[in-house]
Amino acid sequence: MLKLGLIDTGSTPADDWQAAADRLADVTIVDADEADAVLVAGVDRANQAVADGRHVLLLPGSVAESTEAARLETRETTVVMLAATGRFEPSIQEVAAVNSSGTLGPPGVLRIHRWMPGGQQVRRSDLADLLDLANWLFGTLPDDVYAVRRGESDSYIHVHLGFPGGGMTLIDVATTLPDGEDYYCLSLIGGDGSAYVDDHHNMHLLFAGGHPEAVRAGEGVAGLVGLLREFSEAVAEGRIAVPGPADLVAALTVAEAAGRSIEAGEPLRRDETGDGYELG
Amino acid sequence: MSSDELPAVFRCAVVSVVKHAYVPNGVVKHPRFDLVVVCDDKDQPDWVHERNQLYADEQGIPYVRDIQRAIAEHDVQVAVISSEAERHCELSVRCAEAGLHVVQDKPMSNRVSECDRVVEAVAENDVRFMMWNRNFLPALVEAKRMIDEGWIGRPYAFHVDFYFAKDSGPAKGSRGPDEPPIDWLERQIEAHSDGSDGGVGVDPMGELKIEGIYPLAYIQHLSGSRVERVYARTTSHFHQANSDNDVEDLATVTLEMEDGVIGTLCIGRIGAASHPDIGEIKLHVLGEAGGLVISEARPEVSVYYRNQPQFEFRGRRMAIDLDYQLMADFAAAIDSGSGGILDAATSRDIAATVQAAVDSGKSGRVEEVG
Repeated sequence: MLKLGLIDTGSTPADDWQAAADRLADVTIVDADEADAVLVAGVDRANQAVADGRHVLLLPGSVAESTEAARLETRETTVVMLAATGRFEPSIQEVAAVNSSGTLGPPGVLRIHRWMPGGQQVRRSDLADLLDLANWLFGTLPDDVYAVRRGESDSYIHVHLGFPGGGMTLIDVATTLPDGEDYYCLSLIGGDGSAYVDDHHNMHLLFAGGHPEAVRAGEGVAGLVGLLREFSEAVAEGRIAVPGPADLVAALTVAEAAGRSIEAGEPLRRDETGDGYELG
Repeated sequence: MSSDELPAVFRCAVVSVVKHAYVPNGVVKHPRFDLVVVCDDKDQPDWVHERNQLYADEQGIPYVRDIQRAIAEHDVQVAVISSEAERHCELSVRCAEAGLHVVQDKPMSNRVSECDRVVEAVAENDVRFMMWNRNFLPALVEAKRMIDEGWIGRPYAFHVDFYFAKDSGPAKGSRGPDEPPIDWLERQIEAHSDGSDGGVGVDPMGELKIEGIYPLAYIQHLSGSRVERVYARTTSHFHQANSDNDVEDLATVTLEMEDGVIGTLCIGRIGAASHPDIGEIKLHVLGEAGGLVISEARPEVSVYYRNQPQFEFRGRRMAIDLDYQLMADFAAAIDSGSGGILDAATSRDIAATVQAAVDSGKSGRVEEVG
């Protein structure tokens, strides 16, 4: 039984983590001082937990720089995994399954729209979450990164990626929606087929006068359940959990390249080391 | 010609009709337009004459192998041009110089310099020009209305997915090592039977050139902004004919537009297996006060039945008023002397955007739109 302590929970309510653990026989939520694994924010807390011999679930939004992510310590006896819920949402799992099985053929275009309310600056970590999906689905880092933002504000960012073999990705992240719910849409076009995850498709209609309201058919805590299952199995099997620190470094590296592309107004290309990007 | 002298019904010449005939068929959906003759140049190849003759026979109108004579003898006011792409502009220029208003099939041309000739000829001869487009599809009309009424505030980002779930000959990778590359024109002629011959012509064209006018016209129509810079990725991902002829069947495009407006486009001929209908064609629009998600196919009716052919569309579009509204707009443009929904200058700018995207796809750099 994996005993998980919730030191930080980020934007996900603790009740949701509890609900997810309730659905697994081998995970239980305990007080932090009784835990052999912890959910934490930030590299320092993660490293402290590893030093204490605890397994770590790291909130990915808590790390903003690839150099910071590279400081994450790992040991053979501990598992460090990103709590990247995006990968584990049931809809995304379906897409990943038909992609990795080859059903869709070689991936051609990945398109993601992520629109949120709030008006604040799009955080690099928000972008990195989506870039991680692109890296994951294409199985590699992009060769080319181009990005634009709206005006001088950072409430809207669009990123255009080119992958080896001709694959492409377009991602746009906005925080300019009015108060209310967000919107998510992902499509993957492969050589033999395609997959669509779209809030537009998954809306109920509520009639209460005037235009009907669209009410999202949510995916519940299934994403958290999948994430905890991978974490607990990795711990039980003594293996690396996916996604791990290297995935976070990769996603943040691409996000940083996007930022540099915005400043330069030009695309960046992967450099000779294969780990970074340069104007080209 | 003053508005008092304008005819109640415009007599139209179909000037070459070698592709699918949706343009001339669409023109006559409006009662002010009548097809009176099909014509083309005498020196065209036999397959062109055969298609022109077939269409003339279907319409019960004569086919004349001399464009100037057809115009002179049939009292024509409007030319409807649906030739091979590389002849589009030459025919449009000749018709404009003959004083005809012009309705032209897409693409405007495969060369921007040819588009410039049309812009000049239309202006010099004071005739109206309309590129065939889809801006009056019901979903686009709704999108325009919602934007114009201010529901999402000032729009600042326009995203279009324009995927056609059609096959286009053998799949990429299917050609044997001893087989010759696919000849583009032969493939397009062969494709006439299933309507996938949008790229008919001698010069190979990718999806950006064949279909790009439609989604880029959406963005132009909804935003009113001109594209200034383009970054694109292109590849031949699906079809052997595209691979053999070094033209893309899949592309992604980032558009930087006037006033800081951003646009993007995903376009591809993604194969019939990729969608139960024509394809996922969507618009995502962000404004300062909201967002819009539009399915271009709607309204539609879903139909399923036993023994349904594999590739018959399950979703059937309905209440489509596109043809009538396009021609009503064109009639109004002629009557008033105004530009209309997609005039020559705007079409030329879109062709230049397409060319910049094709160039960017090859160079890997951001390209300025000329």
